[in-house]
Amino acid sequence: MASNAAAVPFWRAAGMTYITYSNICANLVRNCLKEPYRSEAISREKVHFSVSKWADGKPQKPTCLEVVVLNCDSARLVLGTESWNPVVFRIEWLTESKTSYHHNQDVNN
Amino acid sequence: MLRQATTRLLSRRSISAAAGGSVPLRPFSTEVPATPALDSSFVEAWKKVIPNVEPPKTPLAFMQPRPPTPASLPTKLTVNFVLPYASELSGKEVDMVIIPATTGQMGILPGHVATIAELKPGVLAVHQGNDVTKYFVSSGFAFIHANSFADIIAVEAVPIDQIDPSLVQKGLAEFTQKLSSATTDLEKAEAQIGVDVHSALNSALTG
Repeated sequence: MASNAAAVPFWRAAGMTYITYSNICANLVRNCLKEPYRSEAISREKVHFSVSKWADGKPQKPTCLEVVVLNCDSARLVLGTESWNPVVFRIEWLTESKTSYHHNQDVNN
Repeated sequence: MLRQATTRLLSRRSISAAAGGSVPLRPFSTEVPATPALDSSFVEAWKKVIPNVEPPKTPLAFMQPRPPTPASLPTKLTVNFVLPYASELSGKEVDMVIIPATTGQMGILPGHVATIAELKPGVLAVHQGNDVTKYFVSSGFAFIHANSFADIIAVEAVPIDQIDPSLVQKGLAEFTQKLSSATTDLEKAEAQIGVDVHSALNSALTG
């Protein structure tokens, strides 16, 4: 039989999944583009969502309107700040048009 | 588990033979049979029960049939190159495609054996006649089918002239420095990815 240790790529050995690896590669490439293409690419990949905390069974005002461009650092920043108990939060994925309704903090990463 | 596999294979084979497909499906075969446009067993069963009403069309009838594997070598390779937000090439007939697979640059000619290749950050070159169109691909997969169709999917692909050399140099220096100062496994992996991508971008610009 062949050796039991399959040749895993270095990123999988470090605990990263393929999707994370692929997204990091894509973000790095996007950051190396020339000017008009770079801003188009980055704005194309932005994700908008609003987060509202729940207290006493009622949703409170949505606090942050987050516009996240995920790269290796900002992903950890966004997800690591508060305790993400899914019962306590309501996260709404927004399309570009709805962002104008929320005029709260705009966290740009 | 292995016992179930053999019984399942045998039962699957008999089902597909009984369903009256044009070619009995052979498990593990790499040939691509032409798919029938009409589900004949459904139509026969319908006509037995309700002979007066037209049978409804099944999804098979709406789908384009898969192009069959030609008997002799085809002259052109049909390439579908797609990105999550756009379709770069859709059904384009080309002479050759060179893909940056993890195992090295792979040249795909018409009649290539069916392959699935994982792509690494690198240059994808499409050769049609005397023109060569080059894209830098961040990562993705390439599925080459036995009927000379190639489906290449990538997360991000840019023509080489949209890459900014100064940003590439800056990124390369930054990630080489991060690699030497990285502590945890994850940081090392990220820095290594950065170095790989930027050196691939560099060689794409110079090569």
